[in-house]
Amino acid sequence: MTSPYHDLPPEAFWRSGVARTVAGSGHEAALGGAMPLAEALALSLPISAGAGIFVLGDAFAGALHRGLAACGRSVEAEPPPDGFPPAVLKDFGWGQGAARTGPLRSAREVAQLLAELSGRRAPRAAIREIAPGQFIDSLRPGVEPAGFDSHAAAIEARAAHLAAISKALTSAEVVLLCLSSATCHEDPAHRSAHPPEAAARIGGLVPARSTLSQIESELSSIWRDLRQLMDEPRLIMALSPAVEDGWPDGARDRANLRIAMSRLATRGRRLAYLPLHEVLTAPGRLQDCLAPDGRPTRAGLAEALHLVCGTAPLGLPQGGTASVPDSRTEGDGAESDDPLVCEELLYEAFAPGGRA
Amino acid sequence: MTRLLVLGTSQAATLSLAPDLEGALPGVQTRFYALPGASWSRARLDEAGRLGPAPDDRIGRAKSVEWNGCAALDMAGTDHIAVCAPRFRLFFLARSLRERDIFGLPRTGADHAISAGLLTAALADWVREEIAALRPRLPVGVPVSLLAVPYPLASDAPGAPQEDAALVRLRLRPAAARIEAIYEAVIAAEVAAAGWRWLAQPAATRAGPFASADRFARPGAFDPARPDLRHMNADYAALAMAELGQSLPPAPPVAGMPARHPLPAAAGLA
Repeated sequence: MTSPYHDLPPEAFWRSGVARTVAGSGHEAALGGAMPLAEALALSLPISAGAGIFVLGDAFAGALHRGLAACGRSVEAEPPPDGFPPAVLKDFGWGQGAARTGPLRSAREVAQLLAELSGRRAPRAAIREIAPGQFIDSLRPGVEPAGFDSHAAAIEARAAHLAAISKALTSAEVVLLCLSSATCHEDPAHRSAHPPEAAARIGGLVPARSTLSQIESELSSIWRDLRQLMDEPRLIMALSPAVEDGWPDGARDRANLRIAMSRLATRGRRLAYLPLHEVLTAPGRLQDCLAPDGRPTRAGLAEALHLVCGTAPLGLPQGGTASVPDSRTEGDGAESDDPLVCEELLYEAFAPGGRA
Repeated sequence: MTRLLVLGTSQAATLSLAPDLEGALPGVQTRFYALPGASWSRARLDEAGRLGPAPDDRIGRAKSVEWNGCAALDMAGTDHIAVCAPRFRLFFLARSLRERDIFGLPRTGADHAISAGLLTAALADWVREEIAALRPRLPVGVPVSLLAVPYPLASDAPGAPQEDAALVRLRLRPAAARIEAIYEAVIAAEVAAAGWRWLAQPAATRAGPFASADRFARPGAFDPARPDLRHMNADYAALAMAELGQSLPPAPPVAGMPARHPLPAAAGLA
């Protein structure tokens, strides 16, 4: 009997691939501080300072997107409308990821999105009527909490969403893919993959788990479509440090994801595996880097961004969503009437002998 | 007798121009209190329950005395309060929608689009925020009506603020009526949720979406030196006050006094 790891090279294992790479220190030295470890695991081909990074993936990817956006490094497909209330924008899926898809935890969901963008395969019946006159995009159900009020509006929104992602990808040089699961919700009738949020709103979805070979195929599909959509792209893959799903095979799925990513990363200089999971969950680092709910702490996000960018980023957000301007900053003055006109009118109305 | 108090900015003062208020609103005793916009937005009730400019607003206090005859208004005995509403970011919205279409509605070719759901949610948030800001200016337990301030005049004027021009462009959109319907429906729903009455701009004063008819312009409204497309004349005030009067609940009967709306049939039987 063989294990999934039996044919992996030495650098795929913690002791031989990570701990002993820190010169003259061994494992204990690696535990002594994040910086030597991060430096040891930095990308062999660093991301240049001006390169736009498009982040796709799960909720941790959303946090990375916000951190990179605060540093001016993240490319965003659908920038939020200026001046709208930040809490409302968050409810409608802004600030949670570069593509405004909501979390895409599995390679299959990302592969499906990119296949649709490249024109290879459009998921059928993406728009679903969940109540009379209430339509959702079942591939990103979190972006319209109450649903669209017409099928046409939902179709338009999906088309605009895809066009925005295509445009954003052409302006990015690097795609950072951060995944946490190999299981999604499948519509058996249409063979389409959906996030868990869709399962709560539409019926008939069943869990679908990708095997190692399927994950490898999905990642290859992602890479093929990115090369079609972008000019000389780079794809950097990472296993998410956050464990979001409660699938019984979650640990095995993540191991398979890790293996599939590593294997694809060996296929070209423009492909890389970034050990985010390994660094942020290393013994002695986990509590500093991740909150109990799996979200990165400020220190964890800083370390993750250091790993991505190779330098310590500035201007990290305090958490929550990427900041967006509020209408109050520019709206109030505009709402006010001309004070001179108002005063004139008040004189007219309330002058002695007047009506008031 | 219903003791009505109309509050607000110069828009409230505009309403005081209505002719023959006593005749138009029988059984209603009306008072007005208005402050400049900047002072009105910071006005507060003092410890004695009187409404006036913030303590550090010296100009506002001076204006209050000059225009209203008092530094602060004693609201005791008021049966109903009518407040001239803020515009709930209307001009901001007009500017924002210059660059955005709305999914499912006729397009203008803008580069971006938002959903009607997002527009509704954002508007609701803004309205709740404005209502929360109004509450500290109003006594607890007195019924409140929120009066829509008029949309700017339908005709543009050279020299008018850019925000008015943005609104002109919004009116020209093929979906303008639908956008106006969303805007007003959200306001009505949120005001009702706050326990207040909402009075939209009288239909007879309108000239299409987001526009007041030019016949309600004040004298000199289109003067290029200082155009004023936002305040209306006494005819507008008469219509708005009449609608307000009709919306008021019947006054509680007072011993020794007739009800405000005695039934004609009952009078005939007497």
